[in-house]
Amino acid sequence: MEYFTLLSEGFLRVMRPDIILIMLAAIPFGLIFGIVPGLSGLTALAILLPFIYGMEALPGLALLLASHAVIYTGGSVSAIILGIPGSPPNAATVVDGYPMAQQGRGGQAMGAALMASGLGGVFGVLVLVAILPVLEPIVLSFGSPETFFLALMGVTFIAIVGEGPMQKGLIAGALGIFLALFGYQPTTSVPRFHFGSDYLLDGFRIIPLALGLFAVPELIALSAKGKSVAQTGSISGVTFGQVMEGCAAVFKHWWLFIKSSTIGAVVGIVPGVGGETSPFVAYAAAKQSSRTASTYGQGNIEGVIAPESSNNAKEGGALVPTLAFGIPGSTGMALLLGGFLILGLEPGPEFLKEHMDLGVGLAMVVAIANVMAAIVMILLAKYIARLTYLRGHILAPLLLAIIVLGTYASKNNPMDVVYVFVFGALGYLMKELNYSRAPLILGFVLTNAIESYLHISLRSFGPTFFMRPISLIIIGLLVLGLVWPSISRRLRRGRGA
Amino acid sequence: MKKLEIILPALIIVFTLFVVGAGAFYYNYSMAVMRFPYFVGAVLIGLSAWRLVQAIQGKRLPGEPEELQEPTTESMAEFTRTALWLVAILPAVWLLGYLVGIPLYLLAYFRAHGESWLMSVSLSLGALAVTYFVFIVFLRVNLPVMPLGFQ
Repeated sequence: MEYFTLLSEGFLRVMRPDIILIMLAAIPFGLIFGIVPGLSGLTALAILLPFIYGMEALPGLALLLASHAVIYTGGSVSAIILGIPGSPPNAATVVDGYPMAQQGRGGQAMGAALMASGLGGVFGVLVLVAILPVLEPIVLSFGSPETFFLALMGVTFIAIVGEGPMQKGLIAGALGIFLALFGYQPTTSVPRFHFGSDYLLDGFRIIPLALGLFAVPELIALSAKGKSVAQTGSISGVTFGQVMEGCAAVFKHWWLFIKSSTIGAVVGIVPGVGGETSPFVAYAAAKQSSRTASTYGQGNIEGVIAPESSNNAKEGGALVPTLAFGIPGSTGMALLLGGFLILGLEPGPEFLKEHMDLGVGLAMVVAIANVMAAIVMILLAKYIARLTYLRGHILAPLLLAIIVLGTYASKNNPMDVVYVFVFGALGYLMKELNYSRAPLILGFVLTNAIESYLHISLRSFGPTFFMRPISLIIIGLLVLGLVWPSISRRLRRGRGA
Repeated sequence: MKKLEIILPALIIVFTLFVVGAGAFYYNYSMAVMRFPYFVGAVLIGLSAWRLVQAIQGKRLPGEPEELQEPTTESMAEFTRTALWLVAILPAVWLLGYLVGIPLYLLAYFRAHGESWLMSVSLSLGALAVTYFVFIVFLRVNLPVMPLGFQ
């Protein structure tokens, strides 16, 4: 009963006019970044980070989450109309969505994708609000040693299962932790590695790091490409009637919707996996159980509903480990943790104990943003899709100007702007050499907690602080995660021989 | 790309050794301050050294999608040109201030990349309006609007 009160309070908190206004500003931003291929959700989150400085927790996080939650809704439109996924997780939608557009059924595909995305997002949130109270007693039994190993496991897991080879991911994670060691040491307050620079007394900042790693490399690619991404495809044949037919198709295939959304939410809960995995798993599951499996790939509407339902449902699932354990369920969530840090919050066991109301509020933000985005896109998709005709030469410098202004505005420090480019060079190198960038940002964000909990654990329990049941289980999972890729490779080789 | 595969881990090793060395021998931090940097530094150097050896041997890692392409002279020149154009915003805002520097930078960028005068001027004026009304008036950011960082 108490939890239901919390849910209704969370809903009422989100319905504040300022939060609704913030969401109304964030949603078009997220949709645009979703629609234009090459501008990922991570870039959108990185660009928005400077703007949450000085905000209250809920409005600040609402700005980030609302834009992040609708990225894939926007991305589905370019996947269908252009055959180019707006964001990588929309790739599965291309398989059937693009043939539908070529057959003159683009409106139907768009309607189905948008309705499935919107409702899938709401489904993911329902999973989140159902799981959070169950997790609460578990996370409350965690002490400082468990929290230390949990944070370490977060960085390690996202390095293992993220994009690129595991070894490079681990280097990135360790580098992120190392970069966060500059500035005041958390337990002794000694300024560490400042090299006489006032700027380094506070250490490197999350905003230049996030923008450098995730926005600058994309701007270089966009600027180098120059041309618009929409070389093919047409939005002229899309009618409102067709879009509504597509929307209705989701209710006709309600069981497929529930199955695919469940897959998305469950895959989203597994730390670091989400991303591109869940839509393809949902697509494969839909095809396997379909009576019309032979028409998949030729414009079957089920092939649009399945990946799009799971795409948005996984974000609700991804919030579960992010809020409860401080381990991001997806790469976007790793960057969202940076937002928590800026607002002085630390997701994890303590967060759930002290800020359950905020957790519920965030779930509501995701649900409302998904519904609003679906409505906006159903009405305006045809016009918004024209953004894909913008040339890279126009988009790149305009976004760069926003980045420079936003970075300066966050702390009024011109050195932050310089560091955007310094970390931009690092981000570009990492992207080119296939180093995953998410572990770096996550390592950077979690270092303060990792180091503080290590010190507290050593002081409270001595050098054998890890000899506690839950700690040993987490260590076991961590070791298993590290050796599993090589074990599975050997098993595959053994089977092949 | 092979050179870059060697350069990045090598740079990480040098950077880590320099920072940890400075903490240990120049600043003489206590063990309480240096315990964690020693641990993380050792892990980072170990992983990077392992990668460095693999890169020198030309070994491809599991999970690497395909052979990374060697950059050509043309692609390097294209990258340098693109990167320089983007970095040029720094001297523009430092010399001319944010309010004038950003629109002028955009105007130069658009014109140099073949956009029409109409498009270039409209977008630059739009940027000027956004900078002034959104950042200065609405968000009340104390932007240096005069040249050389003066308010």
